[in-house]
Amino acid sequence: MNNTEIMKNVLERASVLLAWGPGHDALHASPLFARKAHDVDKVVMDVRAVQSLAAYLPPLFQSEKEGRIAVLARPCHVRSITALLQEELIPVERLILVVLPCQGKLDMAKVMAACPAAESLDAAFVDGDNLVINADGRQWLLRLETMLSPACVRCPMPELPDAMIPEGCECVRLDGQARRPGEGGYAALDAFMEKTPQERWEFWKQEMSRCIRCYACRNACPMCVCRDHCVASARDPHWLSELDSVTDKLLFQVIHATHLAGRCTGCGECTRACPMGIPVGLLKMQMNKIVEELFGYKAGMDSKATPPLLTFEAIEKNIREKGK
Amino acid sequence: MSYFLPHDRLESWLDDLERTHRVFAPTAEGRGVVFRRRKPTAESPAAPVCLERRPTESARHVLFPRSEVLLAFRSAHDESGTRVEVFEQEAPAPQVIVGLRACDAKGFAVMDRVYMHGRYADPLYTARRKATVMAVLACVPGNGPDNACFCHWFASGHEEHDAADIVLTPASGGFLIAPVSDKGAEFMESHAGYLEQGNEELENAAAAQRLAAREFLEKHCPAPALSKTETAIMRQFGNSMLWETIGEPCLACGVCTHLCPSCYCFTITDETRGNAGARIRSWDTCLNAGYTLEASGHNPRAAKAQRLKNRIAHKFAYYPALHMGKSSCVGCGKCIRSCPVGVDIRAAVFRVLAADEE
Repeated sequence: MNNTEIMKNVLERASVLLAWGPGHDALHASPLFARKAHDVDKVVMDVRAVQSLAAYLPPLFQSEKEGRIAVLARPCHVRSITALLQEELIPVERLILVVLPCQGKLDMAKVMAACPAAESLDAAFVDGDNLVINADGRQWLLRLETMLSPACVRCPMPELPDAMIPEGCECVRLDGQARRPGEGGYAALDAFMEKTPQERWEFWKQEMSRCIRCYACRNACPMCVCRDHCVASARDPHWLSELDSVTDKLLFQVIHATHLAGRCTGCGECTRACPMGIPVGLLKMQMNKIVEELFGYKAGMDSKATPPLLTFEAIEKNIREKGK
Repeated sequence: MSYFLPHDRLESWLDDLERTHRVFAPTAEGRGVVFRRRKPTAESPAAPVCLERRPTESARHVLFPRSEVLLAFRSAHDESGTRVEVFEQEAPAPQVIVGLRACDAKGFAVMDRVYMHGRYADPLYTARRKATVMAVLACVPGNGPDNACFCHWFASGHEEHDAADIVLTPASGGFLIAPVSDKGAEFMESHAGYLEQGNEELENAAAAQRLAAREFLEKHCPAPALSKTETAIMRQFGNSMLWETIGEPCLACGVCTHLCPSCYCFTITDETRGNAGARIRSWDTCLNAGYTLEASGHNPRAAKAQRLKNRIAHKFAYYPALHMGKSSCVGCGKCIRSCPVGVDIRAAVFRVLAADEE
């Protein structure tokens, strides 16, 4: 069976297949909720399919109309889904994972910088190692490797190891060639942390002054499951001021990062979703690094593990208690 | 009467405008292009203006701030007892927005109908609007229409100068500057120092560029029969299946409404600290659950599909019904370009029209 047939086959057992379909032009894809076999013919799953579909799962599973729900997932998305399963926010028996070997996801800002004419393109497609763009009566070849999102560049896991399939979860694999693994680690964060605290504070003040408080970072985050009950929108108690202040905007980012400590899988959706290009993911990255150092834990790797901040040890191995 | 501003004099011209006006202009920051007050000083020049890329956001916040203190209050004590002191806003200073696009300016025309007329005219918006000169940058091929633009759907299109006072068109290594209102003509008379005279040749070149931009739009994104959308949307209003399908990918964040040049909803909050406090007006978004949350706890728009329906219906049905058939969408495409999940308001309109024809 080819990938389309595999997906149609899956859809026979599910009420919906969350996938990606055509976006507003040939360079963009948009989430597609495939319910009929012919919807599957529209699926786009190359580098243009950038969104994590995991964020749709918790609310969708609450809908009484849905039967089983199948979802297309890159390995990084599987980590988010695993984290949701760990917290029992979605039911494993109603989930079908359709995993694709990952070629990486485009960073649209990089594409636009390399080829400004792409904004009014006529056609765009992947050909081997290149993204081909036809615009303005010309053709551009952009090397895919140089056009990927920062999260993809460092991703050490473009192919999902069998051991990472969540326990008890039906998992179907699609055919395809994965990109070469990245080095993992926190190189970009480490470089940023070499700045002095004063420089970092100035950086964030400048970046957050552009924040428009649209909360796309929050709503695109698969692990932000409070949805309509977020502390940021609470009127009573009224935690965040309505004043357009950098400190309140940054306070929300700190709340977001703290709430995600030990839960963030580093998928990069918050940074990608930000319309103003603020690298809000850096804050979560720092949390992830601390959690890794303190607890030896990376979120979403093992469906049987308990995230460290959702439990406790009487004596934590790497935390020195006061006076000891 | 037209003028020509060579490219290398752009920054000096903008600095010169500061003599009489506060200048707001697009600047590139990070990956975005945002409208900032220039504020050049003797020690540090203003951040360079960015006119070669479309702004990420609209200029709406210049006249209608994201958040503003309507009034501040403080209880003060002295020998005579306790009294409440109230501080109101001061009258706005003259200002000019340079480099907004025609669609952004048209957004202000949409807001004018709501905030400047009738019993509920808004004094703060009205005062700022009257104190503001709009210097629109015309879209031309290579610096204008992209695949998300659709201003030509609306009678205005990118050439009509609703709310604009001056139009700058990139031409021959600079900008052709033409006043299109009395306010604009008056403004140009006192700020022509750095400019050369325009001429017919330049004017023709600029007009041809604007026409080419329009032709691109008409070719790549044919307009629907907008006259039918108002009735189609209202007829399909109860078709919940349709709206659920349209709203399915929506994340219910507020990117679309916050970047939109013509979304004008706000919320009011009183914030107090000790003896002092403020009544704050801040942007609201109909995609937020709190937008229609009632005091009882009931929310008539609990689902995101109902909220997105409101956004589309407001732009294409309720607003036209109140304002002589004019849509409040201006076709700038900002919501399409920046939506994290690619919700396309054009596709939504086509879907409603198709459902209505069935």
